[in-house]
Amino acid sequence: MSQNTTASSYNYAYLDEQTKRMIRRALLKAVAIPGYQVPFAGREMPMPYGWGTGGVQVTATVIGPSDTLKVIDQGSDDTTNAVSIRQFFEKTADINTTEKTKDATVIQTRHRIPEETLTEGQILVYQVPIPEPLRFLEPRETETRKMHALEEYGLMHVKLYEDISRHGHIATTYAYPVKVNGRYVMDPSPTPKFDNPKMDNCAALQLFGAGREKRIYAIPPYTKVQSLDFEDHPFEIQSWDQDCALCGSTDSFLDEVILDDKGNRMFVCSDSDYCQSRQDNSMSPSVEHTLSQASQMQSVNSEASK
Amino acid sequence: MNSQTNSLSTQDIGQTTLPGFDNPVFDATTIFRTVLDAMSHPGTVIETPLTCKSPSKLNSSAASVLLALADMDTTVWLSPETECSNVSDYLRFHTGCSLTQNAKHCDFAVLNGMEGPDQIADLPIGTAENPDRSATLIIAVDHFNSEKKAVLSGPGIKTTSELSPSPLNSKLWGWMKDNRNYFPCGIDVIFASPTHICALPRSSEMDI
Repeated sequence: MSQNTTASSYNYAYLDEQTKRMIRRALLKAVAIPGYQVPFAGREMPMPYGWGTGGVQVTATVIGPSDTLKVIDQGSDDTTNAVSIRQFFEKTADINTTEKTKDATVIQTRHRIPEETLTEGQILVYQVPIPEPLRFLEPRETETRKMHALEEYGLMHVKLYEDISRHGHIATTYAYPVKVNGRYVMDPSPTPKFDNPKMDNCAALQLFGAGREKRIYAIPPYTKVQSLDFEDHPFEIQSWDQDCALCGSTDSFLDEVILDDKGNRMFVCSDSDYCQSRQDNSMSPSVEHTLSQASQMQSVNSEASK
Repeated sequence: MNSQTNSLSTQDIGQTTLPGFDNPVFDATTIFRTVLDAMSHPGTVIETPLTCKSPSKLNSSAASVLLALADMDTTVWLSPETECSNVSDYLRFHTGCSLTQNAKHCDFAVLNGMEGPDQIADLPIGTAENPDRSATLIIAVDHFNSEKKAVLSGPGIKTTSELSPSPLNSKLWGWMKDNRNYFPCGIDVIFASPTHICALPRSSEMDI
């Protein structure tokens, strides 16, 4: 920080202390009422809404100089959003950053949960665009607030049922609604439903920040998180016919990468750290060529999907 | 600020008031992380990572929690046992919070563990639609080795954990158990001994 004169003229971690205290009080309430959306006075951040202003405010409030920060965007450490947020905190909070999931104390994420199991003491901060799971079913905040108060979640089940009647199965694949500790229905942010089981009974603390909508919510460690479903249509996660083309993983979330204009494509892990560490552990020369070609394509593809 | 209860004149500042955090920014972050850790692991006794000089009726941990979280946007209520000019001057000077005699309108409440639940019957517990509009109660105790223990379970607890603050008014155990019945409304409790803190959020189930 000392080398950068513009950054040092801001308070530590950009936010002023009063803002941090306000967010800290909201975070403690959020942890005490798992899944409930606590309103907070979200600030303007030096980035547009939709780029993680909520997550950045939560991270800025939580981190201290002894933390190690990892930032991922759709699983990857090296996409624009992840790189710029990481640099933001390197500049303003003078902290160590890492790409290794297990080395991080705070992980800010957009739309994925790392494949590696999170451990006790870690904090996962989600960037949330629309925190209210009932918003597309009921646009009025006064009504959704009442529905949460009365635990009136029938409408959400009707929505999932309509999926079944129209498509034959529950067609919701991301932002799949969950019930936290048997009480509040919560939007897990637009993570693929593949990640929902990782939220259940997770050892790490999960914090959610929605900057535009000005809401904070949380899942404490070891909390029951149940994906909504029906007895005859139980919750299922996505699966792929192929393994990861780079590391051969059979159980991670895969991105489809288009290789050329002749219909060739490959599937690779969306979690770049998980994929890389698997490759480091079993590197063979034959895959090296595909690897460099594919990682080039992967970064092009994830940029385009923004 | 309530002028009637403000006994602090400009001349008194510095003579009557003890120092707060050595480093307000980083100490507040450290204390917040400790409270966050405690709140997300109910019943776990966590060492307070720093000490600060505090008035005699407010122990170091309780004082540091208030220094980290209270400010001009919050109202603090002090129980009869903890209310004195030393404490109120200290909090006003360091945090800028307003103090109230009316327990119905506070964000933070401070209680001595020996006091009974009658004192805190009026604390706001939030509403069904806004359960976050509730008070956070800081209870000052001496240690966490009480013979009487409550077994906790629920969010933040892997299997079970034990809560054993001491000394504690025997009626407070029943009050804490009742508190869970109002969920999602309710009071979040932070127990503060001079060297450790331990939290009991409203989400914890309790067996005595």
